[in-house]
Parts: sequence; structure tokens; C-alpha cells
Amino acid sequence: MCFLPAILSQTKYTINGVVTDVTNGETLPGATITVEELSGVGTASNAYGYFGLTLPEGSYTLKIQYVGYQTINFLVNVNQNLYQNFKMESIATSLQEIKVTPYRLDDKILTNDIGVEKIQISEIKNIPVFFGERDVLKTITLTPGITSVRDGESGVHVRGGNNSQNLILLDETTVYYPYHLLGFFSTFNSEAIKDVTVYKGTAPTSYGGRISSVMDIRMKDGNNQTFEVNGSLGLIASNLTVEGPIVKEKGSFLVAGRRTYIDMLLKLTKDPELSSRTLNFYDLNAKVNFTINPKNRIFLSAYTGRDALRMPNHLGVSWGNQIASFKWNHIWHDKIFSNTSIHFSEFDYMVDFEFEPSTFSLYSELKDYCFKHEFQFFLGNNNRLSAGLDLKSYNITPGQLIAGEDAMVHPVKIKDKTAKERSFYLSNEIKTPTNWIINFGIRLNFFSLYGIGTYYIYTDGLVTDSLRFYAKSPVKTYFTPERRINITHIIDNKQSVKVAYSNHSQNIHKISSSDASLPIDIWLMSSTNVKPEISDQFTAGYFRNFRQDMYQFSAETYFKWMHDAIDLRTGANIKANEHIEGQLLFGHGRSYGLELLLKKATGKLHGWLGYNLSRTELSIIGINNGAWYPARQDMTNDVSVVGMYDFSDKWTLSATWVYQTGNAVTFPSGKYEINGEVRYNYDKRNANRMPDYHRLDVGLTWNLNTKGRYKSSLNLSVYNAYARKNAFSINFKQDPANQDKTIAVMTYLFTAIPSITYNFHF
Amino acid sequence: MKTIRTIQKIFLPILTLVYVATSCSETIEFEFNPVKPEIVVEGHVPALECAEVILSKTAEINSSNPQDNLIKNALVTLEDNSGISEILVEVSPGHYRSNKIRGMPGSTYKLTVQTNESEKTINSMDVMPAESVSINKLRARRSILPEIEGVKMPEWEVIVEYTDPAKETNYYRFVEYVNGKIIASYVEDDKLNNGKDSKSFLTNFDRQLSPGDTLTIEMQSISEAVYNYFYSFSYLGQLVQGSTKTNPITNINGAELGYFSAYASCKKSIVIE
Repeated sequence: MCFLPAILSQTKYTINGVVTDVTNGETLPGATITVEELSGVGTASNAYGYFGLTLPEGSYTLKIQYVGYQTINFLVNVNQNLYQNFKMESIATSLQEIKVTPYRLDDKILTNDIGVEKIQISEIKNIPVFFGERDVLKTITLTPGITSVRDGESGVHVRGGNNSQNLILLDETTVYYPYHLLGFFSTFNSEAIKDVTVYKGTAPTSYGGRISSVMDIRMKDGNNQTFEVNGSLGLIASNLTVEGPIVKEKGSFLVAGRRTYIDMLLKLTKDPELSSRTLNFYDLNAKVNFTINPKNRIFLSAYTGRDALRMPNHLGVSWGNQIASFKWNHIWHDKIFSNTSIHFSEFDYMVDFEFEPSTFSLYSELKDYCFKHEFQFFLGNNNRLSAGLDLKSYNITPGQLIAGEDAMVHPVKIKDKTAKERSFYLSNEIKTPTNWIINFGIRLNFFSLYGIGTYYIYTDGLVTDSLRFYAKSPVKTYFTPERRINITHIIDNKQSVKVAYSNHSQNIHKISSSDASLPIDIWLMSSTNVKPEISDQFTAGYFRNFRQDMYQFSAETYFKWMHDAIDLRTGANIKANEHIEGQLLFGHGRSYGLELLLKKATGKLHGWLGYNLSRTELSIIGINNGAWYPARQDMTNDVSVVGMYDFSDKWTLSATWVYQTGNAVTFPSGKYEINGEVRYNYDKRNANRMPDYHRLDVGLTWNLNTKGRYKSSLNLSVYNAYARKNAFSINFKQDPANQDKTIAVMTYLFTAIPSITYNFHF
Repeated sequence: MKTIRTIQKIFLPILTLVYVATSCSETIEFEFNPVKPEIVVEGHVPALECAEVILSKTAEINSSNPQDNLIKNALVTLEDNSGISEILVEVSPGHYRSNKIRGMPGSTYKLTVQTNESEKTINSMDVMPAESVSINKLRARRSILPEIEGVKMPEWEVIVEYTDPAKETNYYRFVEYVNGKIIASYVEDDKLNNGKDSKSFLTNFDRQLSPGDTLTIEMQSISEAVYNYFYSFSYLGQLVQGSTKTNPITNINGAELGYFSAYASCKKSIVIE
């Protein structure tokens, strides 16, 4: 804290406040406040729209800028500390959404962000959709370095990481299984979402717990000026959002609901088997925020969602997430902002087997409680310090088999596992007058797994030792310090270079039971057998804007090591197995690549071109003799093209095209007979490739009513417009026509899928 | 792993349903990477019968004469825990059979193989479970699973009823014959249903039965190692593996492929109506 006295010794005053949208009161994070008279002096609003700017006594013109909004020029005489809010007016006047990226066009040049993708929901409003549902997790895969392996799969891989290594946050609360319908849709109802920030490399130190990425999804705050209703009717789902002020200007609420009606469609069929089936999901989001006084603001947000699939007398599967959080923003002093929050997150699944003579169920649950307290110190114009603590408590109920006396099976009860994770973090961002921005931070994690019960130690899958623990006595504690540093040099207003190093750790691990994003994946905690997964990543990037920031170009290269990666033993038994940890194999991973992005942010035609060249490999003891082999998600080339063209206020045409090298798979290299049946010999792990994947989606948005209070639009989309048969799986069998010949049978899921959605607003 | 079987039986069709009725399959052209042949060992010691060992090599994926790959003139030795040892006689190319040794429940068997194909000595060991379990009832019925257009569903359900002994962990392998020809095999353990009256649903998407066919199920009591080997071939084993296909875990040392099983078994047959 050696820099504190230096600031306090100067005679300066502070202006602080919140930047919001005048029409609905939504806070605008990342708005810039610059001083016309003092070049190089300025600040940006934080995630809650809050800013603090310290200036010497005098008269100044403040310039408040946010893309898509009219710039505010504010004359101020600074002779005392001031609290001043800024309300900005959107340039867009009709339902026609803001056509440009709603953050500053020169953000990538002038900020310290590297490996960060920001997407505002309004920005992707016109992108073609799958089955009529806009989905943020799908949209982010259109940016370089973020991919999904299979058609229709929401699980995403960031820079070669697994899909279980992404920290997915909804209003800063962890979402454990953010998928519906076995992965075809995400749990994020885009009507309730404001924006998404993905950190592919260095995440702020306030985030931790996953080694691959942080996906920070924020819900809208709700309009604090007028009541507003938004809704849409789609092919398989509809949603409705209501928002409005509680007390005008002071507080607002938002309630958003979405439900599918696939089972309603099934009911229309004459087949009684089909019509009795349940197949649906819903989401309910709610948020309340209230500004008690200029120094205190509170937020409450909640989410609940559930999937239900049921075939009467056979099987029922249901799963869902419950999330709640309470946040309190407080301004202690002109330069000290704090955020205190409590979070709760729960995920569970239940599989009911409805069989003769009786039913039995498989049940599992994961709960997490979290307390976070963070301070942000605005130490002068170009120095911001954050410090905080993050206390988490986990409880996992592993797969339980619930069965009555007369059931075909015995009940299985595996004891609950509890753990606590205490993290402390500190980060400091300094901007030098010589155009360097340096951000360094550290996050210290203390993870402890607690008893009660017997814990086993495994060697080669067999129990070699067992230890008994009393309730609440620590079984194993891991300390993982995480170091993060970002250095940016702004060459001029058009270009900058950045380097970063970051280090992340993960104590909650997910073991996938298959390639499909099934809810019945298994969650494990670090233990005597499972070490924390650790990643180290170096990133370097060059950022350049052209033509008044209309074109934005970036090139980033990264090298990432992943330590103590987890894989399953061949033939592992993973359901209701107390000795699951004995079924695991451990090793290392590495991923490196080059990401290029060219964005055209403004104009009638806008969108982006992304390209990623990468390689991801694993070395696991017990697989491939420990030699490096390509990971399943290794896809050498990945191209995405996103284009939107605004013909007029009424019509927007959009298209996206993706191309990916086929992912790594294992195909047979020979055959033999066992018991008269032909079997295949699999030689090297993942030495083969699926066929290349490519797909074009097109969309057309027609704004029907653009004037007056009632506004509506129609969106027509075609997914996979040229009906490319993208392989979902390839299986081998003997040719029925010639038993000596082996044939490869490719299964694909989708050809062209048209959809239509009607959106309304009043 | 009854649960697993059940999941496999019902969950897959639901999955398939969810993967939309638009899902289609087609045959594609494919280039295989040939690799050097591997030795395959298939060894059986059935209770009260002669032991048989079949030795072969893997063939190129489109080769037409599997007979060419049988390994002749190998030295195959079998030994039991009472100290009786015997060199098996090659009764036909690649097929070796015992004369003296007949399988005894509870006994341990050691197999040793030396061939010109490999410098390494191949060996394995298996223990025959002490008791065989008999089938109480065998049923075959038309599938009660609903038909979904465009989605392949099992047409027939075959259900085996038996009483699981409570004493120990049992591992079973059900070998299915139609008109005397092996169609498929399935494995189960009793971890979740130990000591219960049990039903095993033998799920097979490719099973085709016609009235008049004789369906035979051989229920083998096998060792855990052999169970693990066959589990890799099961639907669930395949589902867990996903696209990451691997060779099954073998109980053979010195060779990558195959298994050695000493088992007790019983058979039951029905005629399809």
C-alpha cells in the first residue's frame, strides 16, 4: 500500500457516480470518462457502472462515451468531492437494435484485455438461430478459440480445455450444468441476459475455480423508467419478459420465463405412447435492484430451470439448477467501492426407472454456498486496486440408488462429500503516462475436503490403503496460489501490443460418462487421489484498428499447459460406484494456437471473420503408453464468418458460416474374430479424424411495427442452409453384402432446419 | 450393473428421440491405416469339458480370409492348481484342445503360449467360479418399446430370470444362440442386485427372430477379469467410451487382444412362437 500516501498528499477532489441508460436505467459497464483539458486522464465504469475520477481543483469538460450512445460533454467546476450520475441516450431510435458493438470501438486497443470476448445480447439479435432459440453459449463458439465438438452440442471448449473447465456464471453465481435437452440448448434465456464476457486467458483475480475460462453472464437489471413487456413465440419454445420500475429511477425488477412445448406437439399425435410422453424444459429468471441512496445499491437475482423427459412405465429423467444471489454495492468513500454478495447454486438430477415389479431411482445433487466481499480502490486516475475474499462451501451427493424392498435392486447410498474453498485475492492495475498498462494480481486458494467416513487410496485401480475420518475433520487440503499478470503497451490510438501470463486451478472436477452432454456426468472434488487441475498460460497479442475504428483486427497467440488432467480408465464402471476415484487416470495436457479476428463494427454490413489454428494434446499415464496424442477437441483449423446486413430499418439479413477440421477420434486398424463375431483392433488413441465440419446458417429479420408503442418483428432462420451432412458419429461394421468387407457408417443429425420466431415488445 | 443395463435399454431410445427424428445414417468411403498384425488369444475352460484355445492374428480391415490368420504350430500349455499340466493338441489349424484337463468349479488355470509370431511368452490365469447359476425362466417377447419412425428400436426383448446367490459377487455372461449359431453375448454383475430374484434384459438392436426359431441362452458364471473384458463390448461400455474407442482390457499378458476364461455354465432353450 506504499502508493496510498502519495495520492493523499496531493490536493485533489473526486467525482464519482454511476453511468446508466436514460431509457431503462440499465447500468453501462465500461463507459469511458475522459477529461478534455487533461490528455491521458480518464477512467472507465466498473461492472456495476460505477466510476471514480480524481482531479486537481479547476474547471473541466468531462467526456462520457459509450458506443451506441450519444457522447455527453459535461462542464464541471471541481472544488469539492462530487457525486454525479450520468444518464446516456441511445442513438438507436426504433426497435432496430443498436447495430454496432455496444462497447467502445477502441476498447481492444486502449484496455488491458487480452483473450477476452464480449458479446452484448442486442448485438447478436439478428444472428441466425437453431430451432428459433437464440443462445449465448452457441454464439460465443463463433469467436476464435472457442469451439463445440458436435452438431447441436452446447458444451464448449476454450483454447483446448475440456467443457468442464469453464466457470459459467450467471450474475456471478456458478451454474453447474447450463444445458437443456441433453445439450442442445443452454439454460440462458437470452431475453433475460444483458451481456456475456468470456475470459479465454487471464481472468480477473476475483474469478477462480476453473482452469480453462470464465464466462461471465449478466442478467438485465430491469427498466427503472417504464414498464416493458418483451416476448417471443418460437417453434418449440416461447418466452415472456416483464420489467419495470419499483420506484422510478430508484429500483426496478425483471421477470423472464421460457418454456418449451415439444410435448404439447407430441400430444397432437394419435399415437397414445407418444402423446403420453413428457419432453419439456422451462427457465425462470427474476431480478430486483434498488438504489437505497447514492451510496448503497442492492441486487437480488434468482434462476430456476428444469428439464423433464418421461416415458410412462419406462423411465423418467429430470434435472435442473437453482440459483440465487444477493449483492450489495456500497461506496465507502469517494474512492472506495465495495461489493458484498451471497450466492447459492444447486444442481440435481433424478432418473426414475418405472419397471415391473417396482420403481427405483438414481439421484445426485451438488450444492454450493458462497460469500464474496470485494473492495475496489480508485487510487488516482490511473491506478485501481481490488482486494477481496471468496468463501465457498460445497456439498456433493454422489449417485444414490433409491429402491424399495421389493425392487429389483438394492439401494446404494454413497456418503456425501463436503469441502470448503477459501480464496483471497488482490490485483492492481496501473496505467503509466508512457502508455503502459500493467495489471498484476494473485489469488490464494485453500481447498479442504472434509470427513466423515472412510477414504481410500488407489494404486492401479485397486484399494491400497484406507483412512477413517471423523465429521468435519480435514481429509486433504490443497493450497494453490494463482499468479496473473497482463502488460499492455499502447503504441498509439490505433494499435497496441499485449502479453499476459496466468495460472488457474480447479478443485471441482467433472467426469463425463460419454461424449454427449448428459446431465448424469459425475462431479468429484480434489482428494487424496485427485489433485487440483492446474493450468499455466502465456498469451501475446497485437491489436489494431483501421478507418476510424470501423475495422478492428487482433492476433493472439497462446500456449497453455494443463497439469493433473483427468481421464477414465478403459472399461471404467462409473455409476453408483464408491470407488470411482480408482477408475481414473492422470496426466498432462498442452494446447497452443493462433487466433485471428477481423471485425467490422459499424456500417450497413457488419460482423466478423475469425480464424484459429491450434493443437491440443494429452499425455496420460496408462493411455497410448503415456505418449502425447491429440485430444478429442483438437481441431486444427477453425473458421467463423458472421455477417449482418441492414437493408433498411425494416429488413436485416444475416449469415454465419463455420468450418472446422474434423475432431480427433480412434478408428480401427485391423479386425479379428472372437467367438465367431468380428471385432476391431484399435491401435493408437485419437489417431484419426472425423470428416471436416462446415455449415451455413442464414437469417432474415423483418421489423413489422417499428413505430408506436407496440413493436414486433419476425425472424426466419435456416440452420445448415446447404444441408451439409455433418458426421455426428462413425461406426464400423461388416458389410451385409460382403461379410469380408468393413464399412463405415456415418450418422448425421441435421440437414437444413428452418425456424420462425415472432418477437414483440410494448 | 442392472441400472446400467436399464439405462442403456431405455435411455438410448430417448436419446435417439431427442437427437431428433431427422437423424440419418449413410455409408461413407473410408481409408484405414494398416498396422502390423497383433496376436489374438481366445481361451476357454468350461466346467466338466475340455479346454480349447484359439490363436490368431488380426487381419487387414478388408481382408477376406480370416483362416490365413490362424497361428499354427504353437506350444500351448495348460496347468491347474492341483499341479496337472498338459500340452494342448492342435486339432485343427489354430485350434488347440486338452485331453486330460477338464474344467472343475473353483479351480485355477494357467495358460502359457509360445509361438513363432512373438518373442514374448504369452500367459494368463483365470479362476473358475465355484458355483454355476441356473436360469429359472427364459422369455422372449415383442418389444414393448414404442416405435419411432426412422429410429431403429430393438424388435424383441429377451428376458432371463435367475436367482442370484447372496454369498459372493457374481459375474455373468449370457451367450445368445439362435438355431445353434452364436448371435451375441452380454455381461452383468450383481453389485446392485446381490442375492435377489433377478431379471436380465438382453438388449440387442440387431436381434431378428422368427416364429419357429430356437433361442438358446447359455448363462456363464465368469471371473471379474473376463467380465471386464466383455463389458467393453457392451452397449454401455460403448456409450461410456463415446468416440474414444479402445481395445478391451485383457487378462492376457504378452498379447494385446483376447481373453482366457474358465467358466461354469447352464443352458436353456425356447422356441419362438
